Amino acid sequence: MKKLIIFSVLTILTTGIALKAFANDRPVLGNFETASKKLDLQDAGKNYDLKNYTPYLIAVMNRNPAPIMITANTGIVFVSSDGTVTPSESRRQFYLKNKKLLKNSNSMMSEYNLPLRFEPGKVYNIQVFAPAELANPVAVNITNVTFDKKRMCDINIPLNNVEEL
Amino acid sequence: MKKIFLLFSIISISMITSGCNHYFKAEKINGNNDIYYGVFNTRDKNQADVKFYKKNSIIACDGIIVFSNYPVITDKNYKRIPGKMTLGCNDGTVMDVNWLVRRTDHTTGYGKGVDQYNNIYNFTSIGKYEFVKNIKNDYKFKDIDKTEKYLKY
Repeated sequence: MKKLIIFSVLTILTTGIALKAFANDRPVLGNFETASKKLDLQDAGKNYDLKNYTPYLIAVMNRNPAPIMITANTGIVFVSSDGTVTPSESRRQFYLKNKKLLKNSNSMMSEYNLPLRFEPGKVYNIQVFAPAELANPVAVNITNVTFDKKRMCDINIPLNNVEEL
Repeated sequence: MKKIFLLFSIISISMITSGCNHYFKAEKINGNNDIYYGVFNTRDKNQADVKFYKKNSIIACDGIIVFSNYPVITDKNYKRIPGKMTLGCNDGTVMDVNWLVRRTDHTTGYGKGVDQYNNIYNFTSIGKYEFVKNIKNDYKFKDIDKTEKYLKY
């Protein structure tokens, strides 16, 4: 009985620590202009594994007066219409799955990267790969982002806002 | 004769699958002498996992380095390949590093890195002796696939 209790407590604690990067207790930052576009066969072509992933191109512009910095705990999270939240895979896992497409996944790793800072007044293009199991993700959250290290915030980017980038 | 062939095949396969460790060093351009030591293992040709430690502190980082196979011959450094490394540390810092590495064996190279706080780091490659002398007992590279990563994306 004691072992059961200890085991259950430990599992709860470890899952809490693992999901800390994706918990939703942080405030959402405002003053962002965003635009998103879903990449189809014509745009993506042979470069990506479209059976298992759907790529989105997102443009983000920071309208705050100060730059916003990324930390080691930032994650990317997909939000569906139900409100359920799924974290995205890391780029390393994406690379290991698409290893045979060596030229294309290599270019993805070297070109597309989250910028270290979102400077005010600049447009940043981010490419995001949602799993194909998710039917229609409604929004993307970039979690654990700061002005200074004291308070962590999120950035909410809706995906239905289709405009020309 | 069969036993010799077996031995040779086992040893060669183990050497191929183990990969090679490449060691490097970084200096933060500060008033203080902040020195870091790191290692990556090129088991795969184009991608490698990286571990990175700060000397005399608890700070540890890990990440990925990716090499490209297509140097342009008309450039001055056509014998060197560009590589891109991203690192995340346990105190929250994130680094973006641009490397130039020799195309044949990826051993010798140099790089320049930038912090999210706009600090600059100078990276150079070193030998194994210098790495082991400075980071003796903190070096644990074997279970890199099983440990939790500092960089979440």
